[in-house]
Amino acid sequence: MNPRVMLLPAALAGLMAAAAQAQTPARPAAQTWPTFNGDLEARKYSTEAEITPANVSGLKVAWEMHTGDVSDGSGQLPATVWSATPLFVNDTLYLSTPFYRIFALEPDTGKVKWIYDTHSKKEALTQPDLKTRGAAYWQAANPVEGQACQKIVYIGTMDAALHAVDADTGKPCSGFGQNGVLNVNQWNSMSATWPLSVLQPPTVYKDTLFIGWAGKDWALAQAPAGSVFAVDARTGALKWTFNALPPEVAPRTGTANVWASMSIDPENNLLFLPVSSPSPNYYGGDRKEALPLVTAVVALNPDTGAVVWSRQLVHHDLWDYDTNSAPVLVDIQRGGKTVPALVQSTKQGFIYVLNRLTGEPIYPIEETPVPRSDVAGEQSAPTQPETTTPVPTVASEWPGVSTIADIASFGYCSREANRLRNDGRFTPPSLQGTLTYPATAGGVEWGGGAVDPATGTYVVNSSSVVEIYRLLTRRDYDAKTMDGTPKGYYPMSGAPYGFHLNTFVNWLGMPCWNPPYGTLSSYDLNTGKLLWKEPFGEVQKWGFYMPLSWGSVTIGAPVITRSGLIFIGASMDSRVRAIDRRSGEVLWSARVDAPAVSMPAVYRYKGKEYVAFAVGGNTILEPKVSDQMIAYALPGQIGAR
Amino acid sequence: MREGTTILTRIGNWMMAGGAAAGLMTSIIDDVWKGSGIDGTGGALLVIVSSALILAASVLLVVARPLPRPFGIVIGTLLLFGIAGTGFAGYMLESDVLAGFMAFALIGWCVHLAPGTRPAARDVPRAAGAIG
Repeated sequence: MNPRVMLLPAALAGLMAAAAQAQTPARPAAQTWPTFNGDLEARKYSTEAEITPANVSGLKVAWEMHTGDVSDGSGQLPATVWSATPLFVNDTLYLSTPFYRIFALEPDTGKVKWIYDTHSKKEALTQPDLKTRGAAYWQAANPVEGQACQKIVYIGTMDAALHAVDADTGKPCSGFGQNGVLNVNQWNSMSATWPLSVLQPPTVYKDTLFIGWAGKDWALAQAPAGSVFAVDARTGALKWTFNALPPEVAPRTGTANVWASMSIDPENNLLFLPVSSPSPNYYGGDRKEALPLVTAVVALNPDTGAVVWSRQLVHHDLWDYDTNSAPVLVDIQRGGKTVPALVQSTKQGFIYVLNRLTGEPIYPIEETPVPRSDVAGEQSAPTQPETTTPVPTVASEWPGVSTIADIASFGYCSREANRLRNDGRFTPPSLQGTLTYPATAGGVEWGGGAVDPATGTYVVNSSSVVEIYRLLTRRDYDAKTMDGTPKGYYPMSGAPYGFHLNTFVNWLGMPCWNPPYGTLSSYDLNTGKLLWKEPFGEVQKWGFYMPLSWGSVTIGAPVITRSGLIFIGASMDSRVRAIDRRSGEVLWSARVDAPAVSMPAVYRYKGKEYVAFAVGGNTILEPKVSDQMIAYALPGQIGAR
Repeated sequence: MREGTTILTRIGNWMMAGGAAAGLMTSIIDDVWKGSGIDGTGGALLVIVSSALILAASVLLVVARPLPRPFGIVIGTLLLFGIAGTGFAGYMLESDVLAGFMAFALIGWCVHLAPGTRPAARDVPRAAGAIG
């Protein structure tokens, strides 16, 4: 066939996509990756299909660059955690860095077009590390040629500023906030505590930015109340505010914020929020009221902020089981009908599948009796909403003591396991110490899962981590921290208890529980069935790789392509991988400079498909950080679709 | 014939030294190169040290002769453990190149034990340490 004839449909598709983009700029055209999750529905799905299971083994580095914005924490600066998804839109790759700079890069070479520096404080004001999860992009429905700020890139900072810069030039958009900077902290209900850190890029829909924020966990009982701000994308003017907490409880609690990404159903005009847990995170004796919008998924009208429906996923949260990732929106087939579904993964390993128009479960959710608290003043919930379809990513019982770790610690692991309270999932924190599984580290983390809308296949990475939660009376806590705060102690000031948290490891740092420590699972959402579940990644100790069957703790998220591939970093072993969506088999992997604790972006530019990873590391996983941005492509591949 | 076996021994010693030198270089690169996956780790440091020790011991065999026989046996035994251990460490560190060089050194170790290595009486003063 004449190559020109072959290219014609692709060219037409490109034109159509470009037209669609101009009308609804945050909707993805086939070639772009314009939002944190790839699209508004948080599907993390690419329609690209040039890189296939058959040719992915030939994937090579197309380009690599280093931003210079990295710190291992050994010097003056805190360590960096770079979990940014690169955006590809406006023929440019946009990156935010943990030093709060935006890089605009050539998508095929990685050459810098421009850099914008927020000059933000490089201080860990709310998080233990300097952190960013990316930039956001907006463009006018009909951009006026030659006029500035018709296309805007946004970056949030630890010190609660949201900067808006022209996407073509990197110059501040003076009409936004004050000279291009919106002070998000002006809406902080308790500004003397800590700033509302904007680490997750805002969600952009039509001409509105939806801004959540991150705070300082486990520090205070009374903290800034959870809120989401809708602001005008051009000016930063406040349109509405959503509060997850009723004002009457504000003197006794706080947070219940939205620190993870959100999703949008453009067709039904719904905004979905993953709302986190309230403070103090591990003691709820002073917040016994029903707080239905916290640790919940909440659907709002994006125009007004009015609640359309909500579903609480943890009652009276005592485990810091934040709803921590954007709900994934996909239509599934049930009984011959198309059902508008929402998939919410959680730290507990549950995968809730709800009707996104009503919040009603598509697969059953049962109120299951759970262990009760034995802490004075506490009143834990008698039941929790559990679902078994799809089967949770982590088991309901903890994995048991690792024989190797137990022997290496002369029986410490088994002695501790016997001493600690553990009555199964949702065992509340206790004074004697509670063996908590899954713990606040997950289960499924902030990346959530990816879905192939054509097949209804949902893929998600999940960790298996056991932690020890221990409450301390205020007197005991003060005694322990008299000479400073040792690692693992958190004050929960204002509550009658302080808190101690540690991962259940022996003196060598070996996990006291049985592997695997991380898995990748695939589900058929149309049936709720598990298709496959494989250990994911590799654990390293002193550089030595442990058996593949052990898997790795995982932070980050997968991306699915139309060709049947899953691209994912997210493991401790500093590798990025391509996995067969059908079988779970690793088809390709490459070493990178640190754990790629982000989600990749898949895009097409000048006829070539690229897979780009920000490789930043996370000191929770490994004391290994980087500033590497790396893109892969097939050699010589040009528009072969 | 005796001359030939002596050459085999020397070849084996040189192979061990060469494998260890290349292994040492590889280990150093692994330790400093971020793309190695093991940079700055205790494991990378361990194989740097073990490769250096193997190199020192095999160079000793190359340049210092004759060695007293018991000493030679000790050195040879330690070399075997060192090469095998470093090779296994390379495998566990997923440093295939290091493991490959240790395999090369191991072949050298076998070669230096080639039959007939034991020299004739007149050669004893020169080759007593060759067993190691």
